[in-house]
Amino acid sequence: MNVLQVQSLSKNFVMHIRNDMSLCGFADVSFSLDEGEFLGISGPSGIGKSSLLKCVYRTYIPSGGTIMYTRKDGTAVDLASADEHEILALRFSEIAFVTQFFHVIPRVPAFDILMGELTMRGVDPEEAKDIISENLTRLAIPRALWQMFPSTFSGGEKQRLNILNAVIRSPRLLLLDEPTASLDPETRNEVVALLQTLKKKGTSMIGVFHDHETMKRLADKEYSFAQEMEAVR
Amino acid sequence: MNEPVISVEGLEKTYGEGCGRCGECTGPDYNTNVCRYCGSVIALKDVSFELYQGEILGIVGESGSGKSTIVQCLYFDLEASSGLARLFPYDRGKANILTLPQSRKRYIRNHLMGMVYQNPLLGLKGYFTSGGNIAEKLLTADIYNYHNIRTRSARLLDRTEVDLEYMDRLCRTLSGGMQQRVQISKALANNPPLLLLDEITTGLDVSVQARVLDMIKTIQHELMISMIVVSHDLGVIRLLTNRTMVLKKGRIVEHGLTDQILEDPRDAYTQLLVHSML
Ligand SMILES: Nc1ncnc2c1ncn2[C@@H]1O[C@H](COP(=O)(O)OP(=O)(O)O)[C@@H](O)[C@H]1O
Ligand SMILES: [Mg+2]
Ligand SMILES: [Zn+2]
Repeated sequence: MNVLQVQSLSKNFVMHIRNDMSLCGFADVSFSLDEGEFLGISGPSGIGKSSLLKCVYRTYIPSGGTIMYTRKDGTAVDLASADEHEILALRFSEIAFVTQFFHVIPRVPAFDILMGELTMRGVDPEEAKDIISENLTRLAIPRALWQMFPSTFSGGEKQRLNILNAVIRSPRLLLLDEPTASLDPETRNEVVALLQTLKKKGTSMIGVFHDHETMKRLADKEYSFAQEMEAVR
Repeated sequence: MNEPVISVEGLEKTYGEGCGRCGECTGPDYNTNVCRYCGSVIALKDVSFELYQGEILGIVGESGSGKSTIVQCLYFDLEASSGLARLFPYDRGKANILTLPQSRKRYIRNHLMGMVYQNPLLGLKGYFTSGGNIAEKLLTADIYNYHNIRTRSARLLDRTEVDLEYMDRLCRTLSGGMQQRVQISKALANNPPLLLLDEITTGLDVSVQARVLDMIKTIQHELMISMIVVSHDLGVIRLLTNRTMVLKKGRIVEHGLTDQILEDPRDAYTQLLVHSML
């Protein structure tokens, strides 16, 4: 079943404070994504990989093209033009984004943050406790940290919590921007395994990875910006 | 999540007589909100928006842009000059709450809205104790069970991290940060479907600010309450809100998802605002 259909998507930025200078993010991107499928995005830095993810999440407003998303209930919506309420509702229930940066409440214990993510989506607190404990253990976050503020975590620990924060609610579409960048090989393996499990359960994913090796372990197909550029030349 | 809590159309607030040409010489393009023909201040014009259940809407803009005027009109502290505001938990959104009689407005304030001001002593009675302030709010919301009121007040104060020992202290003797916690607790006492927050951390010590903001964030997660957050500080907007309206000289110049406003601002003024923050 098709989940996402991206057609002729483009993004450019107009900087009014720099004499209306126009910057090109990316141009003419098309791809489709099925349920449980993983699309890897590759290409040199600065070519527009993160911008593409941000357009799908609507952090950026696309300049042209369409992003047809099929909801869980089978209805379709163009994420490029849907209104703010619609996007927020989808972010709440179906679409999640793991960014390179850390976006949780800095001074609330890690465990409680994850707890909030689940209970506000109607998961029973007792069940939530089990899910969280299992996942924190799986990603090797020491039990001693569970009740600590994430602001005191190391870079790698923050990144794993960041991933869990999105993964734990089993989104239907997951966007990943270099999720394994600051992890050692062992925890990277755990994250890959976690994503593979999620994939098997039907989550569709689009991911940018700094190392091709990790991407190959997850991706069913690849969108390469570099090749596109070469094709243009 | 998919139902509006409040919808506002064409909200306008004018100080002065107005002249029919006020609209054509004020606003962001003219960089003034003073009419050059009649001298009236057009504090707000053409302000329209909808807030859905569980959404947190930020209002950002420079000082004097009209941010406080919006929430004060909605809370009936100020009388709007014109506009339509429908509050869906009230009469299923059929009435324009801006034109209701005083008694109905009072009912809405007591039962359906909460307001937190920058100055805690605007929302609190300084000569009441913390507990007394909460009790007063519970009573105006028709929560009469005296037996319950004290335990309930204690629980409400606990949620905003006010220690029990402060419960019987007069509010005016508390620190600014502590007063602000009591004020937030009071605003939430009647479980309002809509909470208005106007520059609630401006003027507090930086460490206290952080704590108060975390607290609001936690309350958002727990109660899924709809909020309007007014702030001149994009850091506060970033932390608390999921949608944002940018206001300049009484008009909305841009609105969008908060991350979009911060990372992909399209209006020239918003770009300036965002870039001056970085
Ligand atoms: N009582 C008043 N008489 C005349 N102008 C007023 C009055 N109160 C506010 N204003 C004007 O209305 C505009 C909006 O003010 P306000 O809502 O307080 O802005 P903000 O909260 O964004 O700083 C300002 O130009 C202000 O000077
Ligand atoms: Mg103000
Ligand atoms: Zn005039």
